[in-house]
Amino acid sequence: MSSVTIGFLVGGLTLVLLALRIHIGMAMLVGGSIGYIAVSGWDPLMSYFKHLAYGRFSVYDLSVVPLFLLMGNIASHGGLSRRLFEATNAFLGHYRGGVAMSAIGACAGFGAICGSSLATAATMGKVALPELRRNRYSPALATGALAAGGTLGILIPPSVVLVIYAILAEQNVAAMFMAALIPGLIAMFGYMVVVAIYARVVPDAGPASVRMNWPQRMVAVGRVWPIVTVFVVVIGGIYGGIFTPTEAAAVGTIATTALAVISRELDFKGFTHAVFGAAESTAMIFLILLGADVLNAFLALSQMPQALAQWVLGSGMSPAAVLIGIILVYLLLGCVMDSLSMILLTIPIFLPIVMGLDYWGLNPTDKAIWFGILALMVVEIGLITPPVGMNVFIINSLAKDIPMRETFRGVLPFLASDLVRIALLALFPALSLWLVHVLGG
Amino acid sequence: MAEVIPQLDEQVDPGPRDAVGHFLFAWSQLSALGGAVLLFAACALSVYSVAGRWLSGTPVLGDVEMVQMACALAIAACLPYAQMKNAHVIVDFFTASAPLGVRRTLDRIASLVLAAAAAVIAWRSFVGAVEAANSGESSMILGWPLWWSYLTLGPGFLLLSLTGLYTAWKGSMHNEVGEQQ
Repeated sequence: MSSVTIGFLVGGLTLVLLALRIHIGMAMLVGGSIGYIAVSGWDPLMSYFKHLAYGRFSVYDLSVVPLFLLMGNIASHGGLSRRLFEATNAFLGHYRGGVAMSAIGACAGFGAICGSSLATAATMGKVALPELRRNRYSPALATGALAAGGTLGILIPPSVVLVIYAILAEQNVAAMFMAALIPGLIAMFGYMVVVAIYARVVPDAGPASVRMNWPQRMVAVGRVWPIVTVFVVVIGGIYGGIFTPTEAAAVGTIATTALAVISRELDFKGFTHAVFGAAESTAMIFLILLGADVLNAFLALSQMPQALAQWVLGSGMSPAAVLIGIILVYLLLGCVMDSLSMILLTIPIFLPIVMGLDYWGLNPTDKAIWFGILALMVVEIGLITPPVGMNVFIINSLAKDIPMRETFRGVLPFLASDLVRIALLALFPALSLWLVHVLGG
Repeated sequence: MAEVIPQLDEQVDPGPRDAVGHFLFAWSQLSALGGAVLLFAACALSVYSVAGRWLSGTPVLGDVEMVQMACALAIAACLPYAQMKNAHVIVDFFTASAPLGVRRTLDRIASLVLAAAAAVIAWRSFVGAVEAANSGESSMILGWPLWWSYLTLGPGFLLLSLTGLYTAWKGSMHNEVGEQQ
């Protein structure tokens, strides 16, 4: 049996293990180990295991992940989400659909602190949903906007998935963050436009709220500006090359904790919740990373990704057809899997294919960055589509009287905006690359 | 769900009631707490180093190495807690309609697999540490011996293995968000 054949068999085995409820990380670890033994033998695998955990957990670029998780958790327990929402609502609430737009704006703001969509959806949902219902927004629009808005958590940098992609694709984390910014903002505006249209097409779906006067607005802004400043410094520092992303996360964590404690929004109980929440998420992510490391080490040994890439290149398929095929695979996988696992499972296989094809004459670095942002946008769609749209579940669990069907219906128009944005990014790579070039990432 | 599963409930998890479970849960919590303390320490060190670089042009020597080591240890220390909370991610799409008994059995098998894998990793990390100690492998900038860094991952994986055995024995309950209890 050639090692390429073993590669395909192991891929199949891993998927079977996944389907049988083995932990995702462990399924990849077991599949990868069996393949490793088949190709190289037992002793090399055991020798590789000696440095596996430390080698993976001590990567400096990955140290950013637990630190950002800590910062996001503290920010979410520190009352920051409510202030963000109050500030955006002070400016947008009086428009038709304005409260939902404010929720989306606040999700985007929160996404600039938090690298996770689920946390963004849950945190902003708790804050904004009662307000949306008080203003008698239709259940579909209220929950749909929040579920979709939650995906901004990961589309707007910093983003855990982008960090992982950067490491897999051997790209600069800061450059990935730069590349994600404009597409993330387009996502935010796209969602706001959807709300505006929705509120006009469906009468009474999103009634206008009371207009705030300027003094009231200034109060809301005054309550939010310290934390906004912190994050402008943190993210600006990464973009400006003043800090590494890991240092930025450290500065952000300390500053957020200090602000939350000073403003007395974070009590001891909230703090322990935040810390244990961060511990749990860290463990979840790194167990998957550990398994993916074994699987990828085996894939590299088996040469299967290269063989597949060769086959695709030799088959004469057009680059556009290949890209569409990849997007379709992500949309399908998104029905059963979370975004991080999808990226870890597929990038080692898809990236060599994409790198071998010509897209708009991009150089290899640009192509890798652009494809990463595109993949990020596509995998996020899985969070708001049935059957396992996690964001939808989270928002729906906050509003138990609204049927799940209603929430999925409310998400549909946002999905349309997602697809338009993906098409735009596929056709105009400059949307992501322009900022990277300007800032010299 | 590889991302943050946010705590939707505001209640602190009372954890398992039996003695073994209680013991393991307490240790897992302590371990995770230790991990969090390390993360804060890493943050503080990093901030101190950034401030030093800005104000006087003298960053802390080897700050990157220390942050790396602290994070590696912290991550390993968090693993058992997530297992006790059944937070490690599975795909339940294909088995969602299977009978409860089948799902429980599969979950027990999954816990056993996790326990076995964690035990192997703990053992190999230990062997790796012994070898690093013998060969005098040291970190690049600080020149600290690396064997104890490798060694520090052991307890996390050992405890992870024990928690895996415990959840395989008691049966784990995956409380997916959106899945009715």
